[in-house]
This record gives sequence, structure tokens and C-alpha cells, in this order.
Amino acid sequence: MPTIENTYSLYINRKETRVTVSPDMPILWLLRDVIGLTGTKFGCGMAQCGACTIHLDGEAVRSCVTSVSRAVGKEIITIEGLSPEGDHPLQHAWAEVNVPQCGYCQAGQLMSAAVLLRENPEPTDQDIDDAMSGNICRCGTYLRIRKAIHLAAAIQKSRAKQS
Amino acid sequence: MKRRYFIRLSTFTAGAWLLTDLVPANLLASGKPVDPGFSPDPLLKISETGKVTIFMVKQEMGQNVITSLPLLIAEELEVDLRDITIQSLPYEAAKSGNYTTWASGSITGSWMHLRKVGATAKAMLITAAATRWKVPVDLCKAQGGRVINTRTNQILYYKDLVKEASTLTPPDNVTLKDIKDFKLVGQKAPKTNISSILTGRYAYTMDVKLPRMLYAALVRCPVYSGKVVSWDSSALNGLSGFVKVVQVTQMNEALNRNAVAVIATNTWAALQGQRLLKVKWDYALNTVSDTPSLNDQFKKELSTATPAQVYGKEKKGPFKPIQHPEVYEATYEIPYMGHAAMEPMNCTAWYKDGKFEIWGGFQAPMFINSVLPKLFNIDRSDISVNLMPMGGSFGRKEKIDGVAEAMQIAKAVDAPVQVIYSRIDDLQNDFYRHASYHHLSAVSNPGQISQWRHQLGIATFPGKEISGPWHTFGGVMDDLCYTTGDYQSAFYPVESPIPLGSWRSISFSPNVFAVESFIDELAVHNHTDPITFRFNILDVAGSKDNQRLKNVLSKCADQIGWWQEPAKGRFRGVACCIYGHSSSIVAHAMEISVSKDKLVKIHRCVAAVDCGLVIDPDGLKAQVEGSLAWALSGIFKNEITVSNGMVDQQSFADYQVLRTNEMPPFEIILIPGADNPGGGGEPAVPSVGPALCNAIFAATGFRIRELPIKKHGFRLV
Repeated sequence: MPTIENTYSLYINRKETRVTVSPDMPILWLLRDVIGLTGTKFGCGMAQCGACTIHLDGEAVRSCVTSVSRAVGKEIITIEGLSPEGDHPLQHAWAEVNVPQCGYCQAGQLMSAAVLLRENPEPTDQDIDDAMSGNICRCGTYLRIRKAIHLAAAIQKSRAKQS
Repeated sequence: MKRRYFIRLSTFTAGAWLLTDLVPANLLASGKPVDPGFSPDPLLKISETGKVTIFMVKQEMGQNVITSLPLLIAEELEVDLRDITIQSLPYEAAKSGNYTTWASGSITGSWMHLRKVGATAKAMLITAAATRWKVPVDLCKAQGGRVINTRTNQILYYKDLVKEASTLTPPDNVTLKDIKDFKLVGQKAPKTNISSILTGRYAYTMDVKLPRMLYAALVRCPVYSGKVVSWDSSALNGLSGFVKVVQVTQMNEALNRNAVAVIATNTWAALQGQRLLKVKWDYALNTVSDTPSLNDQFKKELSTATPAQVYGKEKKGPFKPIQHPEVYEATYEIPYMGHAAMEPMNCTAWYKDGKFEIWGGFQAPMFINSVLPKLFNIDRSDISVNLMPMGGSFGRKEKIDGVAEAMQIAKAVDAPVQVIYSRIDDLQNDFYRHASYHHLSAVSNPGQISQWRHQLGIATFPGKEISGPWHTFGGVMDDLCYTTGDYQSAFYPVESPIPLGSWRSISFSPNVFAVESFIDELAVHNHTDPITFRFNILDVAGSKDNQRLKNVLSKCADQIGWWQEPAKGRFRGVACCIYGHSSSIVAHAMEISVSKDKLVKIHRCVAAVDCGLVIDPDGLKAQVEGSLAWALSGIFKNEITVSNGMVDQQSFADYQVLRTNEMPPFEIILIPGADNPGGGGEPAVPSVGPALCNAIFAATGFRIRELPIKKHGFRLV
């Protein structure tokens, strides 16, 4: 099975990065194995669990099934680039509520929640169910994630007022 | 203390702008001198710059020992948790047992020792300060990382006392703080690893990156003890990143499977190669090789065979069925279960100059030293282990199958190699919670149970060995809390076609389900309220734990409003559990409604939890919340079935787990009913299932006697 490798210029967390990989390699493995950004996690490889969620041009995508070739000309944001200083309203809220247990799924949870919060600044419980039910947590942090998203919405609102 | 060396991921990667937390690496030793600081115990060091480091000997996998255990040292040492750096204690094979992290035992087993570590260091720092000030030690007190002279209000920071304190001999006896003076213990504590988790820097076992590291994905024999006949790797030629194929052998019957490994320069290539490799197997099937024949065998054993073990007043001798016209009987079938932690199994090994270095997450790393040196024909000292946090384990990572595989593969390549499991690999090559079959019979009236029999058909592995953790806890032997008069339980082992291991709450999960469902059945049979019935058969005079249980049940009942009728269309169920070996007691009550098309909605769920003295209340609540999600997944949805010796389930599509829209609202009451702390990770799992099924019976009249619940057409909304 001959495969070819191409060289791509990608924008990852606001920096340009050149990589040479096979075009069908999922972005997940490019991030983890080639670039060394291990904050994005492998959970299933089949878009069932959401652990690998990243932003591709602002949309939450499952990086385990999204090939490198689809990222050309687009902006990739990972958990490491969610906020410059780790001070996204969601990161504040997650810490306040002590959301994580093992923490392994939380990068994906945060990346999904970030898109929800941007699109819908005051999500209801139903909105949270709709946006977050693709992200599995086996430790069972769901109630705290819900609480933290509501808290983050409040933080975002008060920051908007201040600025 | 052993020297330790760390690497940063960024050193080796193309991007070189990465920021994971430090990863240990002995083989990369560069020989930097280590600041000895003040270290009266291997678990604590205060450096001359004032940095306080606490070393973790217990393994972190989500249960938050990384916060609750340092809290105990910090409390006695009088320092703030936020001023502490936490590292894992370098692994020493000679003390391997200390690192074992299981059975909800981290706090119960080490809380006094950790307090003494903190108190001893504090006493020595105070002595050093008193000596310098030339005043008696009772005039000095410790507070906020410094010693205060209470007469003159002079202060000395701990860092300024490091040199003198290091010259002192640790006192044999130190006074611990009075529990009522605790400032940190019992309060909400921030998770000590939270900021690195939230920014993607927290390095789990799969995040290890080493120079020239290779990746291996294995095609394992789908039948546990099957053998490799041959393989064809021609389809892998030309696969970008493909390195080579290596055979992996089953080293002993309880350790790992026969397999063929595809090695590549990245995970994606290894996973593609795994799909392209063709392997021929000799399956060597067991007599019992699928789920229906296992259940048939349970029935057959219970009806004809003499039990392998009988427990009762007479601990030997035959099983005596109840001969009474009013005997009430029920049978419960409980399936195999998988773990499906979010981080799939993985392990990294490096073979260099005749020695192995391992990176991984292990609940019981002692098995690496007790099992593997013999099999690899090396000395114990030829394996060094770097313990790293796990992305969930729930019992799965007690096993060291991944190490046996990674070491074999590492020997075949001249580079470190990471064995990665796909989700399918993880679910199909698990060590499962055993399947069981329970026949209960009893003679009872509203006030008492006069005769009780519990026959358990249990899947066993390896062979027909009955194991405490997997089979005999949870109210099936001397830990049944209810008074039952003439009592017998009997065990009928059937050799399992798939391998078994510990699963969060071990044998409590199936056994408490059977017992608490049956108690509910007896209450209904006797037209008695289920909580009143439990009170009637609970001898509180004879046992402090029974007294605690009664209190827990009462508080649970009060919280859900048990003694008032629920709203129209809503129904309630209750169940409870004394989690004996970690001294914790839990009751769950559920209020549900069930629609005509069998949609189950949990409107309210209450847990009353007596874990004794609570160290980290927010962390404990997190464990109780997690236990609810874990147990609901299991009881409602999950089962592992076997066909022709092979596990049927492959992924989260056919092993569906609880998602956020299914998580019910939850009220937790903590009731400190003892002076010592109990365990928190497992005790709140077992009573969830029977409480829900008892509520479903109250709502529908349909008794769930076969799990998971979804088999009967119910869905959770």
C-alpha cells in the first residue's frame, strides 16, 4: 500500500508550522506525534467520545477523524491555545467548580463548551445537553460541567460589561 | 532519595514550543546535583529556597489523592496547599507495595502516617527556631510556613531553618493536631493539578514522548488463550511510517494474549498497519465459550452440583435448600462488564544496555517486579519504572499486560516504543468484571427473616479460583448486615472464557444488587415499606456499623421525603450498602417516573454517605457523583457478551456509556458517623443499581432480574 507524504503549512494556535505527513493522517496524530502537542487526547478514534475535540476555523471538530489535508488554509486551535494565559472564562469556571476528576476528557469538554459559549452566551440546560452530549466522561463529571458552563457564561457576561 | 531526571517534550519535537509538565526519565540521566534540603521523610522536602515538595506514593487516576493526601501533610505542617509542589515519589522496587492504589484504601491506609510526616517536620522546624532564639519550644508555634516566637513576635520562615532542622534527629513521638483545630482538612480544597489539566499540560501515560520513540499497535488473539499460526504483512509494504512486525507471546495464562505487533514511527501508521496485517489463529476454545452456554452452565451447577464453597453457621458440609411451604425465591443474572476508561491502555518501554525502563500508569506496580523479571530472565533491578497519572482506571490498570507486551517489543527495536490500544483493543482485551448468577430464597414475615439462602454461580479466572475481591464481598458471607436466622451461601464457580479483573466496587456491585433487590422483593411480599422492613431486620444493638446504616437510611429517607407520598406518577426506590473493607456506608433513594413506552426519568436521586471523618468534602462528593454515573452506565446500559470465546462489543457504539443528557439531578448528604476516615472511590457504586430497579418495580410492577436494564426495553431520559 504505497502512501505519499506532502508538506503542509498549517496555522496551529496562532503560529505557522510546516509539517511533512501523509494527507490522510488525522489532525489528532499530527498534533500529538509529529508536533508534540499532547493536550488533545485520543479516546476512540471514531468520533464517538469527543476527547480529541479541537477548533478548526472556530468550529468544534473531532480531530481523530479529520485529516490533515482538511486543515490547509484554516486555523487550528487546541486546548494549549484556547487562551493565551489559561484564563478563558471556562478555564476559570472549571477551576472554581473543581470539575475534572482524572481530567483526560476535559480538553475535549472545554473545546466543545467554548464553541457553545461563543455561539450562545446564555445557554440553557437543554442547550448544554445538545452541545455536550457528544463528549463522554467516564469519571462522571457531567453535573459539574453543566454548573461550570453556567458560571462561565456569567463570567463572560461580566467581563464584557467591564471592557 | 534516589536521583531523578526529567525531560521536556519540547526537546525532541519538531515544533519545540511545547509545554507538557515534566516527564521522568532515568535512562537520560545527566548527573545534575540535587539540593538535599530538609527531608525528614521521603514524602516531604523543604528546600533552602523555601519550596515545599510533597511526594506522592499513591497513584492518581481521578480519585484526587493528589489533593487529599498532600492536604494531610500540609495541615500538620502549617503550610497552604497552594504553596506546595507535588511530585510522584520515584518508584523503588524494594518498597513496591507502598505504591499500590486500590480498594478505596489510600486515605484509610495512610492518613495517620501523612499527618505524622507533617507534624514531625513541624516539630523539628520549631526546635531549630527555639534553639536559635534560645527559648523553650513551647514559646514557639508554627503558622503559614514560618515559626513564630509568641513572646517577642519574631518570625523565622521555614526556608531559613532548613539547614539547622536537617541536623536534628526526628523525634519518635509527635503530637498531632486536635481534629477540631483542622484548618484545611474538612474544607473545599482546590485540585492541586487543575491548572495543568485545564491548559493541556498534564502528562498522562500516553503523553510520554522520548527521542526516536516508536509506536506499536497489536493484533491480539480474539480468543484469550489462542495461538498465532502465521501472519501476512505484505499489505504493509510502502505504508508511510511502517517499521517492522514483531510477534508477542503469551508469557503466562493470567498475563497477556498472543499477538503480532505492528511497529511504526507514529500512532496513525501503527493503527493503519494493525488494520492491514492478516493473522491466522489457532483458537483453542474452552468448553464454555459464549454467554448463553455460561448461563446454562450456571443453572446446571446450581441445580445439580455440590458447591465449591459453602458459608454459614456450619462452614463446611452440603448446601441445604430451604424446605418450607412459604419459601420465596428469585434469580438474578448479572453480566460481564468492561472498564472503558477514557484513556485507552498504553505503555512505553525502552530496552537499553540490558535494562528496561517503563513509563505507564499502574494501580499495583509491584506486579511488574514480582512477575516480569522471571519471565524475561533478568534481575529485579534491571527494570526501572516511571509512574504517571492515568486517564481513568477503575480497576483495569491493576493489570500489567501492557508492560509484558511493551517489553517484548522494546527488545526487538533499538528505540523506546509505546504500545497503544485503540478503543476496540481496549474494550476487547479488557480484564472484565465477572458475570454471575444469583438464586436467593428466604422465609420471612414483616418483622424478620428466619431462613436465607444465597447461591452464586460465578465466572472465575484463571481456573476455578474463588477470589475475595471478585466474588465474596457484598453481603454474601459474613458481611450481610441483615439478621437472617438460618443462613447459608454457596459458591459455584464456572471457568470464564474471558479474563477477569477488578472493577470499581469489585464483588459488591453484583452481590449488593442481588441482595438489595431481593430485600425489596421480600418487603413487597410482606406488604411492608422497604425502609421499615430494613429497620425491622437490622440488629442495631449488635453492631456499630448497623447503627450507622440505620442512620444513613433515615437521613436518606428524610431527604427524599420518603414518609410522604410522592407526586402523582412518581415512584421511589431505595437500597443501601455497608462497604466493609473501607468502613463507608451509603444509601441511595431515587424518585422516578416511567412512561408508557418505558422511558425512565430520574427526577431526584439522593445519596446519604457516611465515610466517617471527611478529609476533602468536595473531592468526596466528586467521587459520589462519579459513582452514580459509573453505576448508572453499568446497570442501565452495559454488558459484555461472548461469542465463540470472543468479546462481542467493540466501541462506544455497542458499549454505550452514560452521557450528560442522561445524568440525573443529584443530592448528596455527608454524614460523618465515625472518627476515622473511610474510603470514597467505590462505596457509593453498589446501591445505585438496586435503588433504581426497586423504583422501576414501584412504578411498573416489573422486577428487573436480568441486567442491564435496557434489555427489557427501558430507556433512560
